[in-house]
Amino acid sequence: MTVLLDNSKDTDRSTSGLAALVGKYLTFKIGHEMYGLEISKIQEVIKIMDITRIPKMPESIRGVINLRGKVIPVVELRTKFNLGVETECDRACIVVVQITRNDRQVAMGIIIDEILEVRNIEENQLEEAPSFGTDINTDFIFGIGKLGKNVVILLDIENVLSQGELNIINQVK
Amino acid sequence: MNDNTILIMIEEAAEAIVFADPMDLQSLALVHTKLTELNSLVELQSSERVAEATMAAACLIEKIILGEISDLKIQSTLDTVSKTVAELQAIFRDGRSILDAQFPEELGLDSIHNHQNVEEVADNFPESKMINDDVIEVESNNYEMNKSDNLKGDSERVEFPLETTDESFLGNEEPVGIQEPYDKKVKSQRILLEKCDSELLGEFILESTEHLESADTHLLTLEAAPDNDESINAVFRAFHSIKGVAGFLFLDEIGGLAHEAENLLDKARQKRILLTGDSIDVIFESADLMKTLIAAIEQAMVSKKDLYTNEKVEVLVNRIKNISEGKFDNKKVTEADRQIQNFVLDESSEDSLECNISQFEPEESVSQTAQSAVALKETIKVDAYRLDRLVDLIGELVVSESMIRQSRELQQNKSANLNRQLVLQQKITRNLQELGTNLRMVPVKSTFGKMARLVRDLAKKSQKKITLTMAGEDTELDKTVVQKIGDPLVHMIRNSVDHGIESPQDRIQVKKSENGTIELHAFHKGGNVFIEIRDDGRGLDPQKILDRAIERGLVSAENNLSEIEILNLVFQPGFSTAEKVTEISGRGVGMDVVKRNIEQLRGQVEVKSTVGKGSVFSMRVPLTLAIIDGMIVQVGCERYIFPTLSITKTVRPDPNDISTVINRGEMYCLHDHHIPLFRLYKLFNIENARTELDEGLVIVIEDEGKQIAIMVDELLGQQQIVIKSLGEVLNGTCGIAGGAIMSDGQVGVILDINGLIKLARSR
Repeated sequence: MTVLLDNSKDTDRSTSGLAALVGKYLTFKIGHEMYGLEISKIQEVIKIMDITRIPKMPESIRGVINLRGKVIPVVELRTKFNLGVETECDRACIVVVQITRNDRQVAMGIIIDEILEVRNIEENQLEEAPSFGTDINTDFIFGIGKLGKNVVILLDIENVLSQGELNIINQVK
Repeated sequence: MNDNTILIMIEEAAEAIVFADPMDLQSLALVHTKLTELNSLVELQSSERVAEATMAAACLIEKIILGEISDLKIQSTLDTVSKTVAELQAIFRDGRSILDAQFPEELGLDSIHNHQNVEEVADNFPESKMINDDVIEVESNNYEMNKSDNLKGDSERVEFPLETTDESFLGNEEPVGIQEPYDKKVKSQRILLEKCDSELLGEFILESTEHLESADTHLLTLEAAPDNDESINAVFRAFHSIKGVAGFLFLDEIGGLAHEAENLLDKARQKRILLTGDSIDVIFESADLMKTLIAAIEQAMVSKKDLYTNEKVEVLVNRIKNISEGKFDNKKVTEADRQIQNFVLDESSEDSLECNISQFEPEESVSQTAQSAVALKETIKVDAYRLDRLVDLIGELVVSESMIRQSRELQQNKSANLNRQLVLQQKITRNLQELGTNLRMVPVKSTFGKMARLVRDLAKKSQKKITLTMAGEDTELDKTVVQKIGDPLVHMIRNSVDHGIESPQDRIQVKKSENGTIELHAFHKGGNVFIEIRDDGRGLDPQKILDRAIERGLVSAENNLSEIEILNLVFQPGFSTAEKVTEISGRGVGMDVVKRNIEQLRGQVEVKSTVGKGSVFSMRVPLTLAIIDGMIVQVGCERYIFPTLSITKTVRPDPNDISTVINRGEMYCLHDHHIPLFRLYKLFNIENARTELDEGLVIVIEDEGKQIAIMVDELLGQQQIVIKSLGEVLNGTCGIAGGAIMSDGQVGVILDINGLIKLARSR
């Protein structure tokens, strides 16, 4: 799968620096890594349920679920983040987030392995997203939060589905 | 004689008010003097009520002079006074009965000296303003949006929203511009569009379109019965409302046109002229031109382009003027009168224009509106998205309720009491569900109404006499369907008028009545709605159609076609039976477009005809676009839904019917035709599917004349499916039309046959 570099990254963030990232994050685990999502983007968290596969989709799109009468797509980050393929444990959840697509708010689900907690992350706990050269795409990472010894990867949910993947969806048309 | 003296006094008072300036005490004093003089006159000779009104008005002026009224309210108080004078003008100049006079509430006629009254009314205003902020807009209150901030809270408005609000527009101190003479060049429209709120403008466009539609319907009634008061009033109201809002939004063109048309209608109301021939035609034309103007505004709004004035307006305005003057002699006087007044008003420019309003406010107007307001059904405009969410949630409620009812825990603990409550709940859910499905339903009346207008115009153009009868206008359909059947209906009606109904001479020759009839009939049948267009014209001649079709190369002469098949050839592209191309129809497009449009709605269209007797075009459309009949199939452990309409055949294949091409592509033999066969599990990479042909099933699907066979594991059943979008991210995926919530609450995937065929062929 080709993942194109997404250049449309939020420039406001970089100018205002890490200070803009201070706030509350929902932390959760995917594989052995800890991730964080801005609380303001999160609509709800639901228990994992049967997901209907949609044919001809990139690997990261697992399919769709019925969220109280509304059909929403569900994204699997495990393969995208190179965390191997594992079967979901019973603690697995779907975090429903609100993202903006074409100026409209749409709901999208993200499969995670385990919910941890909601944490307040201060400026002194924040670090820039590391760069690993071209091998690893870190466009969808705002930065790193340090919670004691643990490291939380703060996800830029708007850009998790890269332009490349959306292009694949559109090519299927 | 005495009345004449009073009239002169009133006119003087009116003039004084026009020139009154809150800052100029002398001008106010003049108004006061005029009013008190008037009061002493009417006290002797006229009714008590009029005297009271003048007295109250004089009191108000006095209060302004004495500085008892706060600066903010001075203007509104002046407006009240000028309204009162306008009302007096109506009584003494235009002969309105005193009993019908509507003096402004603010006068506080019952307690003249209670100044508190004015204060109170003015204080009421914030309340009515709050209505503006309400997201859900009750239609009758829409005009509230357009009020400017300094309007008085006129309690009358609540009761008679349509008229009184407009009155307050006119009484508004802002340069309304409605009363200005229209031959005067108006300000550039470009500035005006920027000036007014695009939201208000949007509201205006929607509302005026509705008003014009209702005006059309009533105009048709009026044409048949020129003395129908109710229709005259309805049309008058429509134009009046448009005028009011247009004036407020500085849309002088529309306002001017509406105003002239309204004047003409007003005369008809007062039985001074009869609306026939030319006079009704100009009203029709005004409605049309207004539609054009409104469309132009909409265009300008969407494309953000400049708006230019339409020269037709002036021509039409002059024509209307000529008609109203030509028909009526003393009208000239009034007309000239008005010109003079306008001149005066222009001089005074920004001030109140109230003094000649009475001329355009006929006495019945308020009471009429009051009556019709009672009859009006209250409607609420709601965001379509919210409505869809509501329907979605009701669907979920039904699923979750059945889950609860069937849960083992509940079954074990069932008591009589619990059972009763469950039954009650089930009833409520069922009612909710019914209501939910009906929410989007609207009667076809609006679309039918447009057809009435169309028939009238077409008949005039082609000089035929045609009566249109309608039945079942109250049949309800999903709003989108109602909108989408409009175009096909127009085509079919045009066809009937142009090709179906004969000219009056021809009809007499074949011993038919001179008047042709077209029947428009809507009715329910078997979960669908049928709309029939039946005419008693010459009918379709199968021989002619066949000849034409052969000539056009649509069929070959050897084909043995049944009569029905021949008749349905008219729906083929490139077929036109009109001997000559007319303005109305016969461009060779039309019926094929009709067929395509209706098929897009998942409907069908058919034609039946008897030569010499007439023909019937009948179209069948589904109640809603949101529900389809679906065939649920299983492939591996996944479920897919085929729209039943596109399935031609389902068979368990005989391996002998399958042949391979270059050992890769497969062909299925159906009635001696070989059609390509695809396996769904291969197309969609489905795991654990049956791979042996004789274990599976073959579904033959068709779209736009192309057939392919698709292999699936097995059929699970057929049911009605509510189509749901897959959402912004996944929409438009090839071969997939959407999702559906299945009975177990999971999502099923609905296949898009067209896309599936394309996908299969692209491999």
